[in-house]
Amino acid sequence: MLSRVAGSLYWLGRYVERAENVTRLLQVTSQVAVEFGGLDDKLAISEWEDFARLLATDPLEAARPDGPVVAHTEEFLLNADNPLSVHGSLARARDNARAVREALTHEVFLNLNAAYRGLDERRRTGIADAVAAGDAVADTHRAILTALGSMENTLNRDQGWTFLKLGEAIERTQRTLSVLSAKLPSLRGANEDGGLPLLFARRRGLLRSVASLENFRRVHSGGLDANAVARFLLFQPDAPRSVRCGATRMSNYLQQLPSPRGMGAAARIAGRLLATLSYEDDHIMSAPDLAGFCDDAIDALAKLHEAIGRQYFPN
Amino acid sequence: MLRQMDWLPPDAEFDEIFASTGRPRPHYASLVSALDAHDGDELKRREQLQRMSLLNQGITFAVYGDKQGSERVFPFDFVPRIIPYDEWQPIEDGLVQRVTALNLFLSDVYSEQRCLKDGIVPWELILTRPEFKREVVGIAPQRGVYTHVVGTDLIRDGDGRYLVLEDNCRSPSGVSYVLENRNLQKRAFPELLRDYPVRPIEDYPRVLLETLRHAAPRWSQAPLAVVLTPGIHNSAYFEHSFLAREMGVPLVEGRDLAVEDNHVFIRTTDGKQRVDVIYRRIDDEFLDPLAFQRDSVLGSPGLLNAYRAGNVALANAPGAGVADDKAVYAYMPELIRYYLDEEPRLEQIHTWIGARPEDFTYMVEHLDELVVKTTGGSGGYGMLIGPSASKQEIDEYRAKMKEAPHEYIGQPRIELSTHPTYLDEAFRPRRIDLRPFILYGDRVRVMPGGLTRVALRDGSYVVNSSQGGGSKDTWVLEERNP
Repeated sequence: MLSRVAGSLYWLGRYVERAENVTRLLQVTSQVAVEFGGLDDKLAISEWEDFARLLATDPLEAARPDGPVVAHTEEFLLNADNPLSVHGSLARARDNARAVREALTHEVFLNLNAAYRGLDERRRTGIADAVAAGDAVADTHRAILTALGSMENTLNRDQGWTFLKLGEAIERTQRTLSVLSAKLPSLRGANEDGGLPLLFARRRGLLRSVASLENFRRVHSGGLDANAVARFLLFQPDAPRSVRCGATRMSNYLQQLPSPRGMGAAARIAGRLLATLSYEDDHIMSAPDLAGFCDDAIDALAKLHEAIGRQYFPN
Repeated sequence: MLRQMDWLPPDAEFDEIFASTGRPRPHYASLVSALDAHDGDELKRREQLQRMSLLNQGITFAVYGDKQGSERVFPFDFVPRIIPYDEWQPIEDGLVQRVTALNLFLSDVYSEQRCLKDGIVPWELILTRPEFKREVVGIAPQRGVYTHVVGTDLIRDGDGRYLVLEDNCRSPSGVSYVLENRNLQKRAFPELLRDYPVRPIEDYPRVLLETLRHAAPRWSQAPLAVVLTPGIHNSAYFEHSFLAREMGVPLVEGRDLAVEDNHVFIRTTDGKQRVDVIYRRIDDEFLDPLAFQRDSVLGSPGLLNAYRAGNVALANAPGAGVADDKAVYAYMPELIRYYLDEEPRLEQIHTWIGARPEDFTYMVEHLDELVVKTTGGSGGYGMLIGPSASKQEIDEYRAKMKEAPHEYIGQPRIELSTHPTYLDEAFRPRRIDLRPFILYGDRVRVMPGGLTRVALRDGSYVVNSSQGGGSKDTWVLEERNP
């Protein structure tokens, strides 16, 4: 397929995934922060600080009179000028989709366009209060999932699909790693005396922010042990948001793509990451701090991204 | 209520639906009854439904120089235009004749130039036009076809006669709206189509692909055809993308192409792949910076040499634009007689040519009665509609004309036919035209109907999408009438 089209599909996969991730993070953070609000102000604020750290941006300064939920929703869901916002990601996803509309199905474009237009309409009308903010986030999330569903159900499993899903897998894995790296240290080291319900709520929030709470429960019913949570998000082979699952997908997709001279640089990086996750789990978990591994893995994904660009869409 | 639309066509005008108030023409009777079965709220609901579906599907075009965001929808009106079989057949025959003659003319001016030597058309009119491309003189395109796709604009005068307004031989747009309009019509008013044997149009992309493949230079089971677009910011990008998708061929930009050893390739994730036919939706000037405009990045360097070497087909062929020049239009009846030895089957509008001194004198003296256009111009930009222009506008225009008389042509203002159109919750008469699409592959084929454009502003004659126009679904009926 055309290199330019492959590039656009790869970015389409990344941006839709990014939009979905940020929407969900916003939803979960709002809920957790509201829950903590009356109990422990500092904890509620730290949830929003974690959120900002995840998006690699500064925390929002002035809390508006109607609270951080509205302020954060306005900034990270609706602000068209903020490239990190869901609006920003969906606009870019739609631009990429428009540029390669002939490579997509009618349904994919229709639903993606509808998700963008719905969000843009909210941006124009604005949100009045925290209830409206929650509503806007939930609607947007549903619209994005509909667009993702139409991709899943209507697109050919051809090379274009492979690029789209490759972008999605890289984006998603990066997100899981950054959530782990931002949130896990405080949850792992925390003193469980006294604050257990709060700690539990935060671990629950962590799992929900990567859409894995139910999946985790199915494997480890009952408690939410910090190490078990970390192991699950890193190594669980069948959990769609675990790092290992992501590495497996990337590796498989890259094997399906044409590679003129043996194994390309991209396939090597993905293969190495997958091997580490498959065979070195105990070694990784024995380290005092998981942040080191997470940072190395995020670095590997950045190199993988560059290698894919060089190999398949050099312009 | 459509039947009670409070309006009677003046003598000089022709209304498509009503012969007089409340009395629809026979082929419109069922339609009027069906629409009048709905009350105002229901019509409003249906209109909103189809407006939403336009927006959601992103059926948009870009407007040049527009500051309020460049994407706009092309408004669709749900009152369809109906053309009965016996009215359509002569149009179709006339278009086949005209496009055949246009191609003979192009073959001639790029080879022996008999029509110039025989004095049918003054040579200076052709050879001095920027649309005449010296670079392709003596190069015969595959199978002698220059215009694989033509869009010919027709209007109806006060007597209901169809007249040719102009031919578009470069890259006429609008066909995607024709196909999308049918979908919108089916969705918003499914019941209307039940009463009419409407000729289907869905196979246009298939016929277009056949037409393109027919032009392929090398024998191959599946020659590779691509659509070449200037990119996402072009006003017709939606259409380029639509046609590529419907035909299942790659949509490429100049940067996706590479020319090596006079062969054209596309850059793919798996190396280079050879291209046989390019349905190019960019102008000649931008095709190849080595041959034409040097700073163009829309085309590909070396493309014209690959075409000259016969290794790639371009549709439409470079240089075809000289045939749709507004001055050449004036000579079309003569050219049809000259090449085909037949009388023109479609009439056209009398045209004064600025290049002829006596015509130019007439034009500047009668500007207040004429519609004056620049030759080579399109999209309704730079034209003067004398009868509705102010004295100052006319004076300014006259001054501009005197700087380059040969760039102007004049025509009497023909009253375009009107068609009831649903606007602001009521039916109102609005002027319309018709652009049928003609494909020239192994033979000349005409898509039934075409794009009916409607001037949505009250009193306006300008139907172009960039200037406040909209469009309607166009139904050509099978021989059996309702």
